[in-house]
Amino acid sequence: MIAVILTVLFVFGAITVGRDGTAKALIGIMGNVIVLISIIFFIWIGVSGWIAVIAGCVFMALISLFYQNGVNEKTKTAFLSVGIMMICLGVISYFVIKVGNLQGFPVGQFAIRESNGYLGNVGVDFLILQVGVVLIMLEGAMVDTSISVASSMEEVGFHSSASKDELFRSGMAVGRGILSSTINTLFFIFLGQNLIFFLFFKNDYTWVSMLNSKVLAQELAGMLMCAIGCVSIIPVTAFIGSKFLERK
Amino acid sequence: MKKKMTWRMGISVPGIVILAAISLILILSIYFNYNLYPVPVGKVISQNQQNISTHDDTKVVQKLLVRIVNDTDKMDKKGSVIEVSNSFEKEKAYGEKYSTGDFLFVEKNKDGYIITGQKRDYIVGFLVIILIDFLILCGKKQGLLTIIGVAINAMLFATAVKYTGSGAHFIWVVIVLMCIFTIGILFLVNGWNRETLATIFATMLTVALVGGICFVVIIFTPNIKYEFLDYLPEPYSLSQANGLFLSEILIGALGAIMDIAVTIVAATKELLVREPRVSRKGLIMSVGKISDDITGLMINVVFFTNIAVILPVAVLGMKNDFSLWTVLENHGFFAFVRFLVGGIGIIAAIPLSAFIGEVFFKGREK
Repeated sequence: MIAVILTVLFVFGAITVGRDGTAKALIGIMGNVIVLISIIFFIWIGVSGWIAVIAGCVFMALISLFYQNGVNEKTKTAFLSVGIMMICLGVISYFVIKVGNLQGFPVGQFAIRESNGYLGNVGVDFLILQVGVVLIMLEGAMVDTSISVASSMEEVGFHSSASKDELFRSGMAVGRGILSSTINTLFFIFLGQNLIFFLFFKNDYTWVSMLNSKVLAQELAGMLMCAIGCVSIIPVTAFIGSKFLERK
Repeated sequence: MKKKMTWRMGISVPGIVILAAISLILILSIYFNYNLYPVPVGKVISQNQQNISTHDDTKVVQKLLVRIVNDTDKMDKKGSVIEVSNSFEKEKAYGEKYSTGDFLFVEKNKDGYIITGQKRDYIVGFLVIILIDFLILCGKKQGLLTIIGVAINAMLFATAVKYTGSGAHFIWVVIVLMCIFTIGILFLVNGWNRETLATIFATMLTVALVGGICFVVIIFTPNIKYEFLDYLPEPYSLSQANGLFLSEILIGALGAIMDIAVTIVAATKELLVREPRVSRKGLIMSVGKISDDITGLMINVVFFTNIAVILPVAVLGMKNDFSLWTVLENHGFFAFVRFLVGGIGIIAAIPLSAFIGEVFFKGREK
């Protein structure tokens, strides 16, 4: 009920305030919901987790870039940059999650336990699912920064005969400008998601056990990977953009 | 190539070497900090696995040889080797698989030794340090300011959580915190001027409006199934749970709202300076055009970062013959509401920021 009312408010507000871009974003979100449900469905019917997750991420990137922002030099630059960084950061996340045992459900999640009917023996490796979670988060966060950097570089390349070097520098400058707000946005989303856990830990955990707990490490690793993605995508986009977006 | 790149980014090679050296030392010192722990820490030196899977159960038992690496009064001397066992299911939904080199917290009880958890501080530390390095390398001054801002806010938040209860009044603590966060961040990033003041007002007005809407919606609709909200401190009353959930969703939306407010207030100011006699309708039209590009992207960020967590629980639930709808209704609800409130915040911030911008800058020619 609450979700329905808020959805109506959100969609109604978006249509009133926004224009084509916002409308496309709404349709894009619906597309991404369908992709996410498809990932879940395909893993459920037994498709390999890696294939489902990677294919899903590619589709999500295609929707958020080419559907919402059109097929052009700018979105191609962003697609290439995001793709490269997804591979690099995906590999790093895999090792971080594997070494830290950050997959699955921490003991504190009382609702998801074997005693509630959620048996663990389901034949799906939860390590892959956790990497999938991080990849999906990364995708959303990096597309935003990458498109912003690429579109302003396109603008600069369009209106002046800037050299590759000047283009790169202008891309970096734009990236630096939006860095703070992106990191803050992620920081507050993290605080919001874990506010109740922090209150819980105050009663039931010590500092030592919180710092090493699976709950916190799992959430924190996801958000930190996102933040690392948002920052490292700036020079990558600026570099690739300086090759592609120079006026011919 | 590498050298050219670093030169283009405006940071010298010695600077990078120093940064890398400091980072490495920090990471290593967190990795080897077990002597600071008051509880026994052991390092896995060998492990062998035995598969005891049956027809409908995949269980693996690990025999681990663990060397104790710190001195505490609760455990054998440093350097002694103990044997512990660990079991996990192949899928690792609940259990954990340990490898040689992992650090574990161990405890002694009357039957022998048990594992109470894994030492993960160095993993989080590693990611934090990598992030700080990237922020300094790519963001330079802005990167440094961002680090300082986040660090101060995190400390403020930790202090506030530590010294306040989790009762119904917690929402007021969160409201005060959000005001401090907003003022602090915007001041740090933009400096103290009229534009910053306008942005602060725009952010607070938006948060107040979104908070009001959520409050009304939560109060006047059937109760939320709070048993699915993890870690809610027990026992809780309905108003307490409502208050905590409201605090949580508002704080989660704050960053996105602030981001939009900064852009729109700056754009409104720019427009009014260029065309002081623009009508309100014309102003809202122009601002709508500017905001259209960024809202789509911001909505995506809020969507993906909040919704992604559904994947593992949805697969687990469906594999256990729960319907997708049940799983999403129970476990996806909170993530979905977080996303929606973030989205509503982004949308509401646009006209409100334009309005505040107009109030602050209308009729003030250069």
